[in-house]
Amino acid sequence: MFWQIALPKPAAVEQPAELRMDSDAFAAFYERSARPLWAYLARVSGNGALADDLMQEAFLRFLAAQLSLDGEIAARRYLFRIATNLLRDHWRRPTSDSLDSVPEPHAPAVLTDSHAADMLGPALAAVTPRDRQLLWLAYAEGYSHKEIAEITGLQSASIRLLLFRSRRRVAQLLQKQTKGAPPCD
Amino acid sequence: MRLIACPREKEVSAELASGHWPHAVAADLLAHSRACSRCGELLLVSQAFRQARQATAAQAPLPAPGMLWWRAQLRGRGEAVQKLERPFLGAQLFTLALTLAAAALLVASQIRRGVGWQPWANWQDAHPLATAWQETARIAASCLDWFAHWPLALLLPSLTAVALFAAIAVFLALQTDPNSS
Repeated sequence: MFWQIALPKPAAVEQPAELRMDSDAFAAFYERSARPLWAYLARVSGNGALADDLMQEAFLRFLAAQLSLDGEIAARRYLFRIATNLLRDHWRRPTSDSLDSVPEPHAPAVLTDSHAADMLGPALAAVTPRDRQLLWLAYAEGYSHKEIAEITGLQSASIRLLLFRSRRRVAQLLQKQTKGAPPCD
Repeated sequence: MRLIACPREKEVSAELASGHWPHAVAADLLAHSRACSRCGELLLVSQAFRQARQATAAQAPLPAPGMLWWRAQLRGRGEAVQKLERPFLGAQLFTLALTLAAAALLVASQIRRGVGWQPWANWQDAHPLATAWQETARIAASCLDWFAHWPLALLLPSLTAVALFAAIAVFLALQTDPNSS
């Protein structure tokens, strides 16, 4: 089935479970992880409606995977991995832009009523979707290079270099916006 | 572009992650972050992303978790049914082929043995009840005789079909509901 292509294979430590998360445990997990996941999808894709769809699909696939993950952190990481694959599939479709191509002019339009979002929006729009993914996972979610490698499927060594470049680019854009204000509080 | 990281970046990252920045941070680290371009970049980008995350997450339009749970159950059941349908279709085709073969063999054997079809066609000419009883008894005896000499070529496929259906029945009986918690 087509949608199963986007379902990542679990890591070696994640063994299939006999019993999955029950509905109460899922509701609690959902309350804690849905908002960060939606923010990731919305900011990386630049499209709130798409983020709605992909977030729901990510949770459905997460439930369908029926895995016993080593705690909520691993579960959330797996959820982000599914979402990342969904984003990749979306960009790979013929009607969509490719992963590293072209700007998404609507990227900053996700949020407009926040100073932080207004400040970050143009800078995010200036980098590729893949760089947005890496930056968001590293600096918004706080994942390590190894965790980002697991989520995105990229090599850990490549992530270091890619993050270094994209962080510098975004920092320069932010500094331009803040008109040379010092970076620290 | 040279990839030179500041050795104190990890300290800055840790303080940011713990939420201590900037008020509960050592003065020397604070001073370093103001002087170091790498740590300055890290602070600027991290703070911008964290604020954007907080602002964006607050606006997330979330569906009820129960609805997603329900949809996942439906999808799981649909997939389970699809998985079961394939072997069932194969079994049905196999059974149909066996049935057709058995019917063809039966007809062929009956024609060769010369079962009296003629009396069936003309039974109304004689006394209806007596003729019907006689013919029924005769055909039953013929069938018993035929079953006693059931050809092996017909017996084996039939037993195979029975075994196949028994295996499917056992599989279905042992299969637990994948969506039950």
